[in-house]
Amino acid sequence: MYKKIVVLNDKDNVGVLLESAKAGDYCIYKDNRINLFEDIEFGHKIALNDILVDESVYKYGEEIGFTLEDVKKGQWIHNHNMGCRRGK
Amino acid sequence: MKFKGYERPDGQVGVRNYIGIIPSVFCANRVAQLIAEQVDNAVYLRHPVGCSQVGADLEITARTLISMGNHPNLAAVLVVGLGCERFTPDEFVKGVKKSKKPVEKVVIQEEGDSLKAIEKGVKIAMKWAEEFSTQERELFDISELTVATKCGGTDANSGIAANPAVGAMSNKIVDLGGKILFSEVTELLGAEHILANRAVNEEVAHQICSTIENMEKKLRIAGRAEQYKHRGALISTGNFDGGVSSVVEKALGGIYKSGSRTIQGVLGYAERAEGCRGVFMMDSPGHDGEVVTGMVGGGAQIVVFTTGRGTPTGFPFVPVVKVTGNSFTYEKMKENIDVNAGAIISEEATIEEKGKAIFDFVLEVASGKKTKSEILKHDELFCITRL
Repeated sequence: MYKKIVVLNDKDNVGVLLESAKAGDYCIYKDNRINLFEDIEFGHKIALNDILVDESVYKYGEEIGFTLEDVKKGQWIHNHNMGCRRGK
Repeated sequence: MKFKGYERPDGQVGVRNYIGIIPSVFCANRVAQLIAEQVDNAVYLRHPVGCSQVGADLEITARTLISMGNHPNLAAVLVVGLGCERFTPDEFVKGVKKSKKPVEKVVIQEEGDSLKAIEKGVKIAMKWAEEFSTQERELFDISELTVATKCGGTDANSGIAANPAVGAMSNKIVDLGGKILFSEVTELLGAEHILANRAVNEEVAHQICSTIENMEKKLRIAGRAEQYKHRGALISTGNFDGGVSSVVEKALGGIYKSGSRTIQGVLGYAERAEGCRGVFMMDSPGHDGEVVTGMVGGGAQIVVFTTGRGTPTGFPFVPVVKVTGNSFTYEKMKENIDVNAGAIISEEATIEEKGKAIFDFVLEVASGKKTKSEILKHDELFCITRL
């Protein structure tokens, strides 16, 4: 099933799900289909493309953290696979 | 554009007309409470401080309590002391006299016991309640308004809908000559370059960055010890559940609340920017109560509070307007949330449209409309920060 996402800035490599999604659902960004292969909650982020380990994650056009492992296009990005160096 | 408020003797304008019963020390909490409970339109401020403190920590307590007394939403103030505390009732009364409003004190050890102090306090507060019950609201310009912005229980919708909509409101208030406060320095990490770019000059840009840097140092020290590693999260469980993954992501979504206008300066905790207009950042940790108390001390007559997960809290004498960007939270917590900006997410409304709706609501509240947290008498947000 199609699920809506919002991408807040052209520089971003993540999109925010505007509705909860199930494995097998998909999103569209710039005419590009992004398949989801896990259940992801409304408001959470998905990768718009493959992101290698230790690469920056961008939302709002700014770096919000870095990947702790390789992340595949469509994968859920959250604190299990994204770190942040600030305040630590 | 105007609102209807209460004029104070020093020229400040209140949006509420309460009698404040304020303990100078926590030992006087119960007496202050019993006085307030017996008098119409009286509120009391429960707190755990006022003694056994030194230096900057005691100074912040004193400054904050005095700033509460001077706040324009209070028509008159009764200081309730014990008699042996470090922050003396006399210093408190002297500080509140600056506002030229009626202020008196009741000291438990001088009256004899708590019952006698309650009796005396009720008589004083009764007299004021009678006197101020006939004060009428008058028309004032928006430039008399200071609005504090705050988010609590943030989720991903806060940064996309609620905070940008509040930011549109902030821009309107500033453009009409009013003042906007923002803070939550523990949650500004990673957004300093954006804020510094909005600073009125180099000095303010530097202050913004150094305030955030100092807070980050404190967080580092607090979270460093190995045995407290499991207490090291900089954002809450609810933030994570709501899709926010890092303190920087929270910061970037959070700063929208203050709008996009020039930042005029950085204020100390509960400090006033007297006679100034525009946007000000205040140095306070992000704890909902501590930061709201600091900004009320900074003169905010109204607080606009965004929430994604949903929170019911309020302040004893300042209306708190709750805004959510999450329609599920709004449906679930309708009795706690005033404005739903969720239509931005469903693309049925623009950020500007919701900003206008929040602005209109704030003006109604300034003129007397009660918020949900006021109607339900929520008063949890009075918390003085400690060093």
